[in-house]
Amino acid sequence: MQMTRRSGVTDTVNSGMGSARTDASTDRPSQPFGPAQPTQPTRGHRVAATIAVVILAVHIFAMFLWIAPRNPLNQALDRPLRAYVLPMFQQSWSLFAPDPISAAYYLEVRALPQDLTETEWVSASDVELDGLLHNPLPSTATNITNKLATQFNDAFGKLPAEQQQIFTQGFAEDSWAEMGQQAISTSTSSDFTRALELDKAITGYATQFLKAHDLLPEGHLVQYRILRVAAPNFDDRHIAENTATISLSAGYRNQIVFDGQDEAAFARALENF
Amino acid sequence: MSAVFTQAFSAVSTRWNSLLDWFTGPQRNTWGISFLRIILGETLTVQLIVNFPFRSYLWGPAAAWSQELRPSSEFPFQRAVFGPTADSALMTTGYLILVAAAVAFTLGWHTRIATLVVLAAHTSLVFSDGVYMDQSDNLLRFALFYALFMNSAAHWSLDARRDSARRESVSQESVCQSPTALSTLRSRLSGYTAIAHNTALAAFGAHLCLIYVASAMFKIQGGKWQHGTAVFYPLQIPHFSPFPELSALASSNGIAVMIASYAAVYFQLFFPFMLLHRVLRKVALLGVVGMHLGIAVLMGLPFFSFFMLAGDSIFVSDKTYAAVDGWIRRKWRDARRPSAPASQTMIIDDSPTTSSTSPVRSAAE
Repeated sequence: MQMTRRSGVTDTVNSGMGSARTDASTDRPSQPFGPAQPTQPTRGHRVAATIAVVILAVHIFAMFLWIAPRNPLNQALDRPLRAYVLPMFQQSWSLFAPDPISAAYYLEVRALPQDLTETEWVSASDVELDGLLHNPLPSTATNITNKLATQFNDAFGKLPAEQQQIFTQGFAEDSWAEMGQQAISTSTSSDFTRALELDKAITGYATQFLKAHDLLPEGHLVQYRILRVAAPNFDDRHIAENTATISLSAGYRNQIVFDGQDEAAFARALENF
Repeated sequence: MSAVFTQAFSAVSTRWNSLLDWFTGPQRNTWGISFLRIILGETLTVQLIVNFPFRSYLWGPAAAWSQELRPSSEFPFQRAVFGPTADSALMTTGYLILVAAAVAFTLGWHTRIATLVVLAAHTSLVFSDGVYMDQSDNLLRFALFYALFMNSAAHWSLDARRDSARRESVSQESVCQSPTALSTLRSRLSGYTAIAHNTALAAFGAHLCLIYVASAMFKIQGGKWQHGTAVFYPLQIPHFSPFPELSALASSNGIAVMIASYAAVYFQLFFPFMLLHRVLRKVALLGVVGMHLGIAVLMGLPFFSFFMLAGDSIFVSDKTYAAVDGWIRRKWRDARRPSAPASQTMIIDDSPTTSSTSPVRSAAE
């Protein structure tokens, strides 16, 4: 036997949900939260709506021009378009297109003594790939060396041969100043500047990575190279596997620790993968 | 001739007024936008928690090595709180504020303010680095920007619960009281807020359609997409196959690869047009949901996929959401209701209004 209590006191627990939920007794969708809607738009509303439609049309047209492949119209309107779109609506949707990613770039690093005796290369990307493997929720940090390697590979590929040669040379001191000096006679451009910045950043990352693994004695030089891992052709998928090749080897550089570098936090992060 | 012009003008005027009626009418798709809020907020919160141990490595002084790399376009004061040159304590504080704001946004608590804080803080976070900001971050920023102008707390939110309680207490106090200045102002502005809401909704929907169509247009230029083999390649790359066993299974069958490759292109290309048909809309939504779930699981891009799914949720009708919501509430209510045969139930009636002299009576009376 069950006892059921019916009281004259109103149950206030559920009453506060009424207007935000379906009506419990009839299951009708209830009015949304917010002020009641006017039944007849006024002239002011129509004017506001007209302005809104115009803004909407301009905005969508700008998004269309920015997102679309390069065409005469977005080239002609490049400056006003950039002024409107950047930075809030910065975007690029050529994802996996026109061709899907069939190769990825990874980073290998090593410390070199001053006499340039050969040492072992160490993968700086393996720790990130370990953090990605069988992980349904991978951190953004599993992307860093892959992005660095890809961006440098792209920047390097845009340079003329005489500037590419500069990056494959070794510089034991003031590496980037020396590299900039060597490039002066070759008409440097924003592409060279970008490649130089990336080279310096990668060396900074490599310095921290090697230090975190106690692989960088004082005074040693740092060197990195980019590994390219490519998928086999679709038709060969049952007989071939991924291939790994050296995409490029940068020359050795001096160690570099940027101002404010938190080395302990860097080392802790590597352990968190 | 003038009669023709008059007729044409009249037709255009009628269409124009119909168009304006859509914007000046009630707030549209409030259920879908509320669902968008929950999925966006939840996905962002999880992503922030996952990245918490790496916050300095990504956006703090552990990333000082990247300080000379900057995004191609910037906001003012971009690296004031986050970034390779940031103070560690300030960066962590900013990060925790972002997490708290993301939770408030998800729960729909002071939603408009929470949306603004999440938008500002997340933008500051991702723009502070010059290496790993990607389209996932861009998509979230757009969604938050449009959500600022929409009522995303109409349903399933603490704001809605609070407003409902406030309305009930106001209606219980006195029907004859004159409206307050605040309620009068709200009433006058409600039409304009509806216009802003509907405009933002239209902008967001159109933006998503542009993204799908543009993605498809870029894809069809590539030989591998044309030949139906494109999906195979990323699944071989370590970075895009967190579950190599699943990737091998998914990519070994040529027919499956072909269907997935063509489906990815055609569902995206025809997405806006399929939305115009009652049945095809459902097919389109199922198609893109399947595509994004596949990307989330097989390619290790769960956050990007769920941000896209959140955006897709605005294309599901309010009727569907309301029906699902009603069904869940009925099931919940039925589950909580004690079940017992009526003859075995005794009712204790302690109401002061009852006329019965006995507090206990059988349910058979």
